[in-house]
Amino acid sequence: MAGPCGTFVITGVPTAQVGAVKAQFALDDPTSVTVSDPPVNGTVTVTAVFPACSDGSNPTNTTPFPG
Amino acid sequence: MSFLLRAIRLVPFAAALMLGGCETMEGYPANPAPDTELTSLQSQYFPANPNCAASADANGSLECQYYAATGAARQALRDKIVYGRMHVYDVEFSLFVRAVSANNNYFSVGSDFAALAFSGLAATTGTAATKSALAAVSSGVLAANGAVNKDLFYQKTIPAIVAQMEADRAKVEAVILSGLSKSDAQYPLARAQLDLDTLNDAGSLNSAVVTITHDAGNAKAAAQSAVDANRSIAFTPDSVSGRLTSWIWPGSVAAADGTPTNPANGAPATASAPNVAALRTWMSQNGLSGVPIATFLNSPLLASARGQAAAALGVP
Repeated sequence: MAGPCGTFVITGVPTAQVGAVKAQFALDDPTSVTVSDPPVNGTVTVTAVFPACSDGSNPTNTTPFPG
Repeated sequence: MSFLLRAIRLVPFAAALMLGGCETMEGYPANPAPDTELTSLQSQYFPANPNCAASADANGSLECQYYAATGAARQALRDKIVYGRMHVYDVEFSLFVRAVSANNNYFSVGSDFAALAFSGLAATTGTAATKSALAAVSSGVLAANGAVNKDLFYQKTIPAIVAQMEADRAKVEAVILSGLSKSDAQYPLARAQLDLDTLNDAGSLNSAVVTITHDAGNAKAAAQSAVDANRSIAFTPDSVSGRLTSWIWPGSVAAADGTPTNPANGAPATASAPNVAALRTWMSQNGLSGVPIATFLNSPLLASARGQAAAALGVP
């Protein structure tokens, strides 16, 4: 399997950790990394978008685990 | 003695290396059972169209004897026929594997030896003209071998395919041996023959490739499932996440927003390329190549995997 493709989401990221998560995502060269704003209860959602998958799909799953 | 004559006298030795000793190039010890034994077994256990109504066949064919017998004698004949046919299939399979291995090895290794011999002669023997001629022969052998070695896929995968064939055959053999522990009524010869046919097919290249492809498909599906389960996660790092982060950005300190920074100037720290590459390799080997490192470090589903990775990579 190739590298990451499609969209990956990390919810509940404390604002004091946003930079770390963004730096971690950057290691895989995403197309974009966005941070939800404003923070809710001191946490944000970080969304990284990677190129579409080799089959042309662009999968995402917005239901976080654990829900 | 002229250098050329010396060279010519050594050519048969080189040719013997290239063409002779094919048996040893199979990578298997010599088969003590000659081909005539196989022919005898085939005629005994696979008679051509036995006519059990004819008295001669009825007396000579094991299969006819089986159908004429009853009780324990019939079961004993069944066992004898099935074991005999399994033995024939084993011998045939062994010969097949030897042939496949021989085709894989002998030209490649033999021509390597021959090329070395020719090039060795060219380097140590005779006049410039002789050296040139021998070097040309050596180059020709190596070029031919290079063409064969383009089929590297074949060369490298044959052992895996043979291993798969052996595994497939072992499964079917277990079924047959289990069947033979039953009575003839429960496991008659006709039923056993179906399993024997499966045993024969299990020793084919096609069957092995199908199994390997199927297994690879299952592995890919499992890897895809792991990716899909981690597409959206709640931020749940643990102590191993912290260790891995410090390992990826060695010597860094966290800024107010957690960004790894260089303590000397406050600039974003540079990740250790070897450590990142090592982590990616481990993830790839464990079906996680489709998972971003950020997700790997923070997913509650991957805590165990993180621990394994940290241990495997020697993360302090």
